[in-house]
Amino acid sequence: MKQRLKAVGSRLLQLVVLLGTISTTLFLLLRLSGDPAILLAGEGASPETINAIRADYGFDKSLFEQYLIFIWDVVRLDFGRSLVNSQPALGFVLKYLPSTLHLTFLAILFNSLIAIPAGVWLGAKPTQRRRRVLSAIVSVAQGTPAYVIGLLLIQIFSVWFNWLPSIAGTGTWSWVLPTATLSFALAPNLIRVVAASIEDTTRQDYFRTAKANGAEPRVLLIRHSLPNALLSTTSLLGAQFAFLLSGALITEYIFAWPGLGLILVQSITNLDFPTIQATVFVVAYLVFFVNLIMDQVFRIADPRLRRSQL
Amino acid sequence: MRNKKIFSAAVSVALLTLLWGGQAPASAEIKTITIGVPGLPPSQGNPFKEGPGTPGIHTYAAIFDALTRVDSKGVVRPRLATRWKSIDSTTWRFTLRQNVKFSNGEVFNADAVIETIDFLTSVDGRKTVIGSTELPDVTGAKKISEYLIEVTTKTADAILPAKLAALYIVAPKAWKSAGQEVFAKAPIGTGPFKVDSISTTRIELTAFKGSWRAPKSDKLIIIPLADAASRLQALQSGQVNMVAAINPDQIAAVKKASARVFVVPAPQVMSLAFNTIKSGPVTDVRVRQALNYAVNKAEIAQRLLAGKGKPATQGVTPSVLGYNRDVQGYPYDPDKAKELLAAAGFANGLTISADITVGSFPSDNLIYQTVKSDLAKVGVTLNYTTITFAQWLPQYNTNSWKGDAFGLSWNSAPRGDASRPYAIFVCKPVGAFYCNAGEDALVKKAALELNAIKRLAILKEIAVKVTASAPALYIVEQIDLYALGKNLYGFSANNRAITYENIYTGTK
Repeated sequence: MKQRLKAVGSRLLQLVVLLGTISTTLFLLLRLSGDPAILLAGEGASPETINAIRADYGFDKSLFEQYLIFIWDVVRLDFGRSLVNSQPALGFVLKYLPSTLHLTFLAILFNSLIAIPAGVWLGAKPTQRRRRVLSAIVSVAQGTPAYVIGLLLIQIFSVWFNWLPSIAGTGTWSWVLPTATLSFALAPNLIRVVAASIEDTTRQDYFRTAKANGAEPRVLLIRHSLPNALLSTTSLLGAQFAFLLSGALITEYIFAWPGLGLILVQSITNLDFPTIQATVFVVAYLVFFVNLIMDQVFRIADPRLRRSQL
Repeated sequence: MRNKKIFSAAVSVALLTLLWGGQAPASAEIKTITIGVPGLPPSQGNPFKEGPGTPGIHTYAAIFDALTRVDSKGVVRPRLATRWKSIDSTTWRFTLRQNVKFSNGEVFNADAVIETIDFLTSVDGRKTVIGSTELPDVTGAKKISEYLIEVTTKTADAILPAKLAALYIVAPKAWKSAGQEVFAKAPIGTGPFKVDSISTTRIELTAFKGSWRAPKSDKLIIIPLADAASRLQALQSGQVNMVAAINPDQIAAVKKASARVFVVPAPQVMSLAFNTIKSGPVTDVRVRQALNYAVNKAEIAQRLLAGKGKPATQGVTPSVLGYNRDVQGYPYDPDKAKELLAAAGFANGLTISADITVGSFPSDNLIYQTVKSDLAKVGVTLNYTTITFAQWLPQYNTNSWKGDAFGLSWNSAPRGDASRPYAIFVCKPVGAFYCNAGEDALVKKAALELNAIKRLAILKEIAVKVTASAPALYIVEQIDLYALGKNLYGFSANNRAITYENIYTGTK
């Protein structure tokens, strides 16, 4: 119990250090990126106007003073109001979180449904000619940007066949194309990792022993190869999940999907410091928790890890 | 036998259902117009925080009205004001339109205008783009009677009625009780549509049937689609009825989809402005003229703007008050360019640099690259640095440019008057990048001249002088391109403001 509490404490400390480092780096980088007061005042605004806006948002204070205020606000989870739409920044960002989570979960689900069976099929007999063909296709697909995949899918399913909408929020099925775009963009990588892991297990001693004992190929694959292969797959899925949380930017851009990626880009264009800070903070927090959950999944999946700390 | 009966019963039910569906009452059908635009106004429904151009105007033209509007020939037309006249050098009197209501039922009258102008001149109002950069000289408004007001300015202002086209009138009580932040989520104006919901990815509006310019459609949905290719696809697949800002190279695809292209000349001249305050080759007028002669502007307009744009001859376009038809600018003449460069001591060529932003105008990046390759033919190496607008603005405001030139649009919108771009090329105390005392005096004279004919003559004189001194490499008169779906009718755009009240879908 004591050890467990210690482990939890160490995790919390990690979170604090992580968020502190991110906040500080972000604060400094944003202050280097430009002056939002000038953007807010517009073309040819007088220096008096710009100074007045600066004073309004506290940008006239010394950098150190601004930093202390910022850290104190972050501790209280107060990111201030958006400079452009005046809404509380954290509330504004959280409003778009469900939409990002929705796309993330669906994309991971479809990605796994496509990639794991394909990877297993590929890795089981990698030298077979037809599997080599798939392997080549996967390599090409891996180099295709999500932007191209998205536009192609829209052209086929929205423009030519008129089956599916391409704009978010315009119908029951508007999630299909963005999800498909992300799944197709993520799947090649996952297929290759699953295939490589499956192939790798076939060279292991326990596999050969099982084979020598006369286990059927199907049993070999499902009972002996797959569970071990899924370990490395899980770590990649975790990374992909974290990547999607930070906003599947290009996909959100093409499909006008109201997610964190889109908010982040808009707020960067407008130098909307509070919104940028709130978005990055939310994403960092989520990624940390995804990693925490993935660690637990590993502990459950891999008995060797259970003996180590959390 | 029994099966047959069931089958025929099923067929009858199916047919009846189909007929029922087919007989859906046409009159009750909600006529929705969906449009795709490159972006929504970041400050949402607060019309003071945005500049008077895109992206705000695509949204605000549906919700608000200003006192005046400027038509495509640069003539000031009535909007919420029906008449106006100058009372003395710093006062204009406006007669307001009667029987106009805001979408929340408030009455439009002198008090409404005064509330808006009071905000504009307040401390907070001066921190908005409209208060600080569009109308910084408006000092106040006074009610004369229910439908008569007087607006005062700091100095004489001959074109105040045109300038007020940038000031949208907000519902006074709603504005006052809500405050800027809440109003931005539920903006109220006198325009043809009222806002149902507003977010960063979608604005939904319902017809305001009681508007003085009541719309022909029931609903309007504005969707931001930042990517030009997906905007076009949304139109091709019929998900939107119209898109703004298509690229010239998409014209063929639009026509193939039986949609129409609507081209409007923009009151904007795309240019590379020279930083003549800093020492360097562009301080010599011969170099600036040479660079103007070296670029084949007609070819750029033809090839990159699908023949719809025009080579720029001066800083303003023909639709703008003050355009001088007699000014021919700099026709393509590379030999003359070389001659001028040699005379300026650059017979062996020279290297200059420019900071540009791309993605703001049709084909802008390609246009800049063509300028570069044309200049290379006369021995001038032009190096670009591509920057964002957020990087452009502070350098522009304070003239902290390190290069010899920077991308600058000579924008006459929304007032449609040449004084707007000319006021940029003056000896400003802060941020001047070009200064010519003679031209400066003329710009000031035009600002104070209240006689329209005399003022026009001064503006035309400025066109001659400013073109001759070439403070910029004038490139092309830009265009605005819209693509309209096959069932959309009644579209027109005035100074980028779409006339939403006339648009409808269906049969002609």
